Amino acid sequence: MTEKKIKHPAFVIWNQLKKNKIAVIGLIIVSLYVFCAIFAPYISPYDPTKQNLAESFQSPNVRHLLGCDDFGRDILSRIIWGARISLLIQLSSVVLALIIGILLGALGGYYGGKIDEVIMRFMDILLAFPGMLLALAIVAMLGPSLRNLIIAIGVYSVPQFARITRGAVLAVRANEYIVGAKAIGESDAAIILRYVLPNALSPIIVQTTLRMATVLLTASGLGFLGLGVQPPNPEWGTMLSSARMYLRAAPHVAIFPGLAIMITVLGFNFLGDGLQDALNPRLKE
Amino acid sequence: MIKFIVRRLILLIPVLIGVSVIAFLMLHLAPGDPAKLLAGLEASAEDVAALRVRFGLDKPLFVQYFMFLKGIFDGSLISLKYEMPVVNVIAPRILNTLKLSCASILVALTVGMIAGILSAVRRHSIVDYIATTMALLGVSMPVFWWGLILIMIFSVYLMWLPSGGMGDLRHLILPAIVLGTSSAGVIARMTRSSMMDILKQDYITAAKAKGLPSRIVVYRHALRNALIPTVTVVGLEFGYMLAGAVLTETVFSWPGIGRLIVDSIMARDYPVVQASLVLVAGLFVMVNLGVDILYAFLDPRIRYD
Amino acid sequence: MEPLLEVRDLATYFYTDEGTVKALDGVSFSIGQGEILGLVGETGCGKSVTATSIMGLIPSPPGKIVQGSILFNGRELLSLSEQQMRHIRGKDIAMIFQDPASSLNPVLRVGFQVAEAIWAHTGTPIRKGILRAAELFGLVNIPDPQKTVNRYPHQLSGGMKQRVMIAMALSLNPKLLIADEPTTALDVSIQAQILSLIKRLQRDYGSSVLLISHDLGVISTMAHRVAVMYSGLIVEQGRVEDLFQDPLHPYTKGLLAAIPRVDEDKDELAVIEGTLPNPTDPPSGCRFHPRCSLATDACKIERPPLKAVKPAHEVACHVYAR
Repeated sequence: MTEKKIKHPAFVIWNQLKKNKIAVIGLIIVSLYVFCAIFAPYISPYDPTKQNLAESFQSPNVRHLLGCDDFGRDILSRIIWGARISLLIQLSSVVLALIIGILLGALGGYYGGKIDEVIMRFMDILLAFPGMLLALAIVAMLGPSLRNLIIAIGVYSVPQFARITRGAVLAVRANEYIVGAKAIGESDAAIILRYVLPNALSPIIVQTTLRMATVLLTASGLGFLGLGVQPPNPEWGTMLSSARMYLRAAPHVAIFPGLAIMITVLGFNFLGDGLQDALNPRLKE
Repeated sequence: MIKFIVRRLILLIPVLIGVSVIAFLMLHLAPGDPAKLLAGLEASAEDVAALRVRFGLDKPLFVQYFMFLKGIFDGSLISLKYEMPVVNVIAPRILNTLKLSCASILVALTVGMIAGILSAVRRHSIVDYIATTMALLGVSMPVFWWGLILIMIFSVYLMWLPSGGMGDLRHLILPAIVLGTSSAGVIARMTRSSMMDILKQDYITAAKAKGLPSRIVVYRHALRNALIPTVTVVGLEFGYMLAGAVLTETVFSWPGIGRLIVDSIMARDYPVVQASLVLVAGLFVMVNLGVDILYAFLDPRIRYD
Repeated sequence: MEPLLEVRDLATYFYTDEGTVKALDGVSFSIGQGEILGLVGETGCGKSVTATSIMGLIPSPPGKIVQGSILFNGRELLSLSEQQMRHIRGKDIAMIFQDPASSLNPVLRVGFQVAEAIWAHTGTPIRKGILRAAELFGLVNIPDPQKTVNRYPHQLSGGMKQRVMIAMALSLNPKLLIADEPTTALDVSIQAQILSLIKRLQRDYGSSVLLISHDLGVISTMAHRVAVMYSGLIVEQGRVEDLFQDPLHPYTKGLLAAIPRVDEDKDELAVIEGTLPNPTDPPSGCRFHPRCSLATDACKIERPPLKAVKPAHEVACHVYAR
């Protein structure tokens, strides 16, 4: 009888993912995005905040591939640097949400009882604010700035991660090897870290990827409203708010930043969907 | 069934209280002296002191909270900008947003469900790929950008439709499409995956084995079951629209509650912002409850416990 | 007398990412009028695929009936259009499924589901159909039929649900009833009741039954004739008494030997060595040869045809080929 070689789970997932063409496209887009963000100072053709009023509203041409905005700044450069700002916001807020969310979810799921009740009620309260409203309220409270934006979006992302972690913890908690570990005398913290959290890993990974998409939309939305990153910082949403006045005269000022947002969000969604299919074969068609 | 509803209502109370507490604390957690925040930048020291007394900011927090709650409903909480009770300012705006949301959910439902059903029934066909891609695009598009693009095409270049404001039906078309797009995508994906799951079930094969025509199998047997989770999603999306159409309303200058909140934030009209948050979150929570009840109603397994 | 159902050389393949699954690879059997044929074999040997192939319900993609003929009352089913097959399903050939809990639509009342089948074939309005359903429920010994027709599936027990399915299947007096593991999902105590119900109805209505099961005990008490299936092929076919008393095929012998008997005093259960073949890559020649103690070289090369070795007793094995 032949024995199949046991492949490392990361390999299996990678293979699954590769087969999914859409997911691969997503991966490429996200990689491009991250590349721009990291190497912005080196690949950006111009200084994104340097104004040159003489070149205002130039349509795309050889010198300015995506044209210039209302202050004569090169749009391509602003988009590349915008990737940097957006990625920063995404990573900071998602990491913040992950830490708090996983902590709360794990505690609630593991200990159950009153602790769980309280934590879940609090999550319900956060979730009672639909869509962007919570982030909006927090920014309104603290004042618009990059730091406050990150806090606002981080807090508003906590409930999802808390719920997922809690669900995974609950599913695993009843398992016998947990009871066994307790019987041996392992500490609660060790049990959570070693057995419980790894099981929650795959839904968390999927949710993180998809959340990056939501965060980008929210951050740029707040920027568009004037409550996010403030001008002259080249945040994509903020760029769109000033472009609004020039739709007739210079549509390209509005088209490109929005396109950048959409493509990046699509990339994360493609990747997230692909990861979900690859990590949960049971849910696949 | 009644027990179910009552139980859920009771669970709601702490949530609503929590929401109102957060809204209330907004003014106090913001950096700076609340009285100065309310008075504005140009106010003199006497104005600030007078305001402090007038708004009861010298009283303990606890008392202020109850004054706040009471004030929303009995008219004593006044908008700084409009100088009338907040409810008078908020109510008409919520109605406007309701109008927009109803139109949008209609668009989203129609497009979403048709796309979802077609996708599921004709898996791997061109229809399926197009529908799935469009759904994903809809969900990924920044709402405000989509609005700007449509304005560019239909208002600026083609000049068929107005670019903003509220008026007759023509003013409703573009905002409804824009707001409905993302929800259409969500609904399409949900319907598709739900239908696909169900079409694999044994009772579908059994229905075919009875000799039923496939039209009946799809619509009576499959869809009836697939509708249950889909309806939940539709309800949720409606809730989001009611309460969070901030971006669409801003792009199209639609006088709804979302825009009121943003404008009030800019104008530092804290009472309106706080009251709006409470009312909007309350509305959202109610819609969610309604969705839960509807779900239980549609699924006989829950109804006849 | 001409057999009611005659299946010849039926082959159904499934084309998947992992390879082509040859679920059925040349299956032949027949069922006479008023006869109960038991189709027995292990899980995965293709019994259910046989049933769905006859009903024309193979999902395609990824499945496809690649060859063979299915004659029902002289009509070639494989050449019928979907429209024509629809008229036969539920009316001339009816099927009951293994798990009644998942075979009934959870959001529709059971009376409606029965009435719907009647409506589809006779145009009888649903209201009348539900009355007929109540009658049928009485026939299958469902207590309080008038109330039961308005219930939802989850409100009924497993045994009751299966009775509903039987009532639904018999509602149009089918000539052939296909019962796919009808008692496997039920409690042992209910199993006997359901089986005797099926037997009684079969006698009263005169229908033929294709009884699919992995349980030899069920087959022995219910069937007139039995066909043994292994890896997508029929390896032995004959009257129940003949097969159980004098099994010919090594696989059949192994199956019968593996049944623990009360009057024996063995320490170990007898097993058939080896494992089921991979359906995408079956063994060459006789599919059973890797597990057969009598295997010869011929068995590895050539697939043995199903041949009658005694009157009304066929077997596919080189040992008996002369």
